[in-house]
Amino acid sequence: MITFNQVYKCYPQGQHALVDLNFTLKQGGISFITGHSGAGKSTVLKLIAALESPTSGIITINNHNINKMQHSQIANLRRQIGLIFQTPNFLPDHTIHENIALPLQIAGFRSNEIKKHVRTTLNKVNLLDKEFLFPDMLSCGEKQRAGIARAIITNPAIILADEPTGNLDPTLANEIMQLFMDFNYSGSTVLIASHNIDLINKFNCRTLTLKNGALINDAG
Amino acid sequence: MSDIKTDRKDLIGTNFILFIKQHTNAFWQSIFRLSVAPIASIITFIMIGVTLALPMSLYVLIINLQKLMVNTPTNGAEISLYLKIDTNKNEINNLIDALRDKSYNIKRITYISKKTGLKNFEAYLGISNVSHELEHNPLPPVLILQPQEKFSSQNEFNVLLNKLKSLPKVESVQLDMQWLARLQAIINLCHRLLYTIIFLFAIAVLLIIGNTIKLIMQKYKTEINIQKLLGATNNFIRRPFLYGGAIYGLIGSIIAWLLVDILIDFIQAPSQQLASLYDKAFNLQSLTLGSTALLLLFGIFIGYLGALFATYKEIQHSDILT
Repeated sequence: MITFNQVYKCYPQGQHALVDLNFTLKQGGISFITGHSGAGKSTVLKLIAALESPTSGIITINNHNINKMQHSQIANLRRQIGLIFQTPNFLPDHTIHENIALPLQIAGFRSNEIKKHVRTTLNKVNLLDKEFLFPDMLSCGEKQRAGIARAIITNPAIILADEPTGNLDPTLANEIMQLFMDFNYSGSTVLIASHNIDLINKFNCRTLTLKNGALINDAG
Repeated sequence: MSDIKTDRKDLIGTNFILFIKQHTNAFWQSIFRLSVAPIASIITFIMIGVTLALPMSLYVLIINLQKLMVNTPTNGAEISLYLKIDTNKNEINNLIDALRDKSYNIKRITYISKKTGLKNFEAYLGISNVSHELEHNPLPPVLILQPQEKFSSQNEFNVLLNKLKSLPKVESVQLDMQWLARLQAIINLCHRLLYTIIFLFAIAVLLIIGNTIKLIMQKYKTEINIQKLLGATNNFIRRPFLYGGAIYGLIGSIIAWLLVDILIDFIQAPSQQLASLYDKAFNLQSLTLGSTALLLLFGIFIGYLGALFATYKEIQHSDILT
């Protein structure tokens, strides 16, 4: 369960990214977070992944205040979270297999297990035939699917996706969204930030709407 | 995070195996990173080697000077035995007989009577008739002892001196071996100099390795960033760089050891030639097995420390770019 309690985020330039944000995401649920550009969607995801810290307020995951976590606890938290960005950042001189294997290497899996898990996950996102290609050799959609594969390979408890379909055509975007639905069925808590209202409306899920950093609507 | 789901069954069974595995991976990763830029790595190895070779050469010089001291025969060393002023002729003869005992290892004994002593004193001052001016001869009888050549160190002399001091009718004892004391003083000075130089050069190596590791880290900034994003701990990210630093230190100290050995070989012949002019056989000694091991360990430690300093701030406080 993820809880935001009176969370404010103010950047050094004085810009208010989040204003008095309060919400709770239940474990195993799927939710969207929407709003216009600069509404604070990405900031919410960064705060959950402890990539940034709030100016004030409390963020808890399963009743653990993430603002009070040590470096090692934050690292442990990130291993429980699958992060997906609009443009996934890969190591350009590593193959897709090697890039996707990274979270398993960090978690300390054996090499034969890594190989098995990578192949299974690539199969889930239909990229098994691209296993030994380099990231620059993939299309936008393939890169996004590879990014998703890397995020889900450790079977994380939480999946955070920031505009995962931003660079994709509608058909591909639907495919990607269907993948998220599948992960949610398998028990992961999924939070997707998107400004694509048409796409969000296709799925009957809880939607948090932000405007200038404040929550203006919580529907579904 | 107890109820956050993880596929624990897939995790490696014991922490120990995980520890070994992660360290093995980090080691090979560091080797790979050094091999990516071979020329730069080789230049750094040589820089560290030369920097470490300088204090090691001084160390070798000191151990050879010490060896020279130990092997130096005590030709020319004299011990002056000042007797009590009232010692009579019989007592002096008894003392000379006692000193001829083998346990004292005295090669030659010269007796200088009070009268001879005063004459020598007059000759030394360049004046005469001092004895007429004095009511009594104030100078004591003296025995000049020349020890056998088996004495090789100041400590052995000290044992003999203490033994002589305890003899009856002996007022004081003086060892005339100033040159040995001077050499010892030079060696002591060299020791101090060596510690200072080792300290300064260790800082230099620390900075060289720290700077090199910092440059390597810049190259792997994206990888570090992604690893942090995926939940790698600071120790996990730091580990290959620490191994890199230790490898730099190890290979640098091996080069230093080779350079010192080459230097010894280079100056061996002229030093033997010099020794032969003094009718002596002298071989320059290189680093012993123990000293070599210490040098290698020192190199590894300095390399590790340099890498630790370089990585600490960079990894702990680096922002994750998403």
